[in-house]
Amino acid sequence: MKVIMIALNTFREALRNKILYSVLFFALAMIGVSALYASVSMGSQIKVVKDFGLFSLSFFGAIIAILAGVSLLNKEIKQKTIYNILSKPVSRWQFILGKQLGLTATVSLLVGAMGLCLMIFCAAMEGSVDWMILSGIFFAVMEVSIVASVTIFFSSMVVTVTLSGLFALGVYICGRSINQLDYFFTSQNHSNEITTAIISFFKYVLPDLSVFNVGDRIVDHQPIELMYYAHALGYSFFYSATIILLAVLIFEKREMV
Amino acid sequence: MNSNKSKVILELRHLSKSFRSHWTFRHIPAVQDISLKVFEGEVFGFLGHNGAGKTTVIKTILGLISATKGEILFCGQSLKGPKQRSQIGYLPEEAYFYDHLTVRETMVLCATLCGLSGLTRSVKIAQTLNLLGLEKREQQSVRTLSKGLKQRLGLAQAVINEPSLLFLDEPFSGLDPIGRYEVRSIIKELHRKGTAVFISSHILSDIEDLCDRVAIMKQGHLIKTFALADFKSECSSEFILSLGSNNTADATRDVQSIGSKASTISEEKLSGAVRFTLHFITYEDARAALKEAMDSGLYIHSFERKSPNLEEVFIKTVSQ
Repeated sequence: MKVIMIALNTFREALRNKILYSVLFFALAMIGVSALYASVSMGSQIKVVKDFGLFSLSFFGAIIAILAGVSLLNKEIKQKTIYNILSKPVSRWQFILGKQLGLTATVSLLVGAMGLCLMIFCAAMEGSVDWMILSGIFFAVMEVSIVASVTIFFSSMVVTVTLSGLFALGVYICGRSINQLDYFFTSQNHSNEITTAIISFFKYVLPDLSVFNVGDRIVDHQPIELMYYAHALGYSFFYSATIILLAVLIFEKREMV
Repeated sequence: MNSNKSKVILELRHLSKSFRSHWTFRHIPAVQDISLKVFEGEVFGFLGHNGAGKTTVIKTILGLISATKGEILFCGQSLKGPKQRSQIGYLPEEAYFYDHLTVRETMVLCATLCGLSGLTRSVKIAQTLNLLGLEKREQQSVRTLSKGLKQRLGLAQAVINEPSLLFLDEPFSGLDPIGRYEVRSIIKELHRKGTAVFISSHILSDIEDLCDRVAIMKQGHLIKTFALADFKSECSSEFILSLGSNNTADATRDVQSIGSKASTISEEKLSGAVRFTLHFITYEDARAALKEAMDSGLYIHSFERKSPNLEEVFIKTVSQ
């Protein structure tokens, strides 16, 4: 109950952040602009719009998660509202988990709204609803919940908002491209032992966000197996849980001076 | 004051806290070897100049910061986890709230975090808002509350769980005289109901009015703990006789005779007149001087007994 209350409060607070709506508006505008770009490109116009739209769900979803999450803990400590929470019979893990759930709920709602706009936009262009976009929304939500957890992790550890944000963005970019880097260095004989070791280390530590990159399959209407959904859900859940556990361990030691 | 001093509700044993410098990694002591006891139902004043370590002690007790050394006992048990905090209330130095919530939403949040739910929560919220006079402001946004009302809301969230021990960190700071009076009345009401109150404040007249016992901190050390009743009976009063005359030369001669047993005599020259202030340590000397002054024909401005107040004791203690 306490965790849900903290999550609800975080959700309400995050939804009041005007910057998020600016990002949401910008993302929707980008999807609209992609239609203009698609009209002068080769191939199917609708495929370009869907591909770009699904990428936008992931990218702008991550940006929203970082912008909303980066100041969550810092603001609580700076504005000292945390004193009212932690002086009550509330554990620090309950506080962090509540924050994570609230942030994930906020970002999921906004990603869902973006996804529905994309569906309506594509339906207007195609004349029929492409239900596969719902899968795109699902995978984007799984991805941004990891980004939200990573952002909370850095907020619990790093004192400045900017640094936390940059680290979280770095993890998102690396997580999206770590597979390509691994392939480039290990398969093409471009690496020495040190770079291979570094890449391997990051591959195990950073989230493999390529798991959620199913844009091509959705655009080409290739079926996605139920097991793959389960795998993505499980991966997102366990990675988020692990990173939140680390955040709790760090936050337990933090002094509320 | 109806303090029941039979049971210790809070005990600090050799509590120390030091902070590590970010650059030099040197340990900077903030609080050193504090030992004190707070009894059930008493109002305990915690005094000290700015930076003496009062807030650090309170934050350490509440688990907001960790103690470097020492032990904190609440009702005889080590205060470590959040569970025991269900019996503790806290009003921070400034009441900090979420601006996006209303008074009622703030109370629902705090009550839920204290483990209340359902009908019990609704009843407790209604009772607490009534006690604090906030019942008509339930739907008002916290953002629009005045400082005094925010302080009341701060007290409301601190007492929603009916704590047996309430920490108030500078509860009168920034309040106007009416606000201070209201907060004082609320503290008295809580005390009457048997809540032990631990107040840190700079406003010594309020501490003197409210507290049963007082502790004074200086540079991280606890230097004095005393009961206000004992201090008032132990501290010697002085008697002040103020005399006046238009005849400066005669008056000076008479006053030298009258004030032969005075500890100090001061003289103030006014236009065409003079005023003498004589301080006596014993009542007998002062009474004899008063009688002599009446016989001498000098004009008696005033005769009063003056007891030292807490402010004087505080200044004297921290200046040593």
